Amino acid sequence: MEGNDVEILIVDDSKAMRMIVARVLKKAGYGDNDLREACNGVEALAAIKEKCPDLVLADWNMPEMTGIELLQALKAEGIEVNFGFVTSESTAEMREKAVVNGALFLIAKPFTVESFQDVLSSAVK
Amino acid sequence: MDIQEDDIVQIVTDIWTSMLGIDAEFAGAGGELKSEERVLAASVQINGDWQGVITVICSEHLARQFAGTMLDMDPVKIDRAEVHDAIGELANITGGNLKSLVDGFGQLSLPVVTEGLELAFSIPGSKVVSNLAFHSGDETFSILIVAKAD
Repeated sequence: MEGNDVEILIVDDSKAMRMIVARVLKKAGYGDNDLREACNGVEALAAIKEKCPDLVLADWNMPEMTGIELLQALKAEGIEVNFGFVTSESTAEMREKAVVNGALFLIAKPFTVESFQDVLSSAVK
Repeated sequence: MDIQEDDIVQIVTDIWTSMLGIDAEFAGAGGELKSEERVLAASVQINGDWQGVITVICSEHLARQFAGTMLDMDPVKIDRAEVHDAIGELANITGGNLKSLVDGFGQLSLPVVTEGLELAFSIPGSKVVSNLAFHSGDETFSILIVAKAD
């Protein structure tokens, strides 16, 4: 799958961060065609049910429903989607919890274009 | 556990300069805010084995510049909610990274943003761990870390 064909859902309660992630994705070669946004896990879950993207990039700490709760909700409902975290925290415990629940990666803020390219090239094929 | 000044400077520089492309140069100890300026303070708490509050403090004008860069918009055209969102996210990223420097389990809160004139901060039973200033263009912002006193 070419980068430009990948549908990505960006989930973050900060509009500023959603815009930064979108810009970095485009610089990394992804998301020219279809970048969608949600501002918490509840919105994201509804958006995924409506149309499942190729990849979900979620913040961890959000109101209403956190990123890990979103991942667990997807798992509980049997919805399979490539899922990664983009978050300001990256403790060993969080990374382990993310992987145990099925996340493919965790990108820590501050990030670079290269950090997205490194994980997306293997996460979205 | 003490948070080292060098680590704070490295984290702040990485966030502002590397990720956001915003100028941020360490300028020594943080000072008093100018009382005539409208000020924004964005705070996140860490509650756990280490308990404290990390606050990003800057003028409303500088916060608007940060938001303009983050949102890729003309700073003049950004509304207050968007400015608060941007400065809150800066506090969130700073707090999340500083959390890695303290021992044990800790829960990071969502950011709280306060705006006004002559803001004063006090948390009973706490002490100032660090108060560092950074130059950004012609202005200065501060990173204030307050922790529960032993």
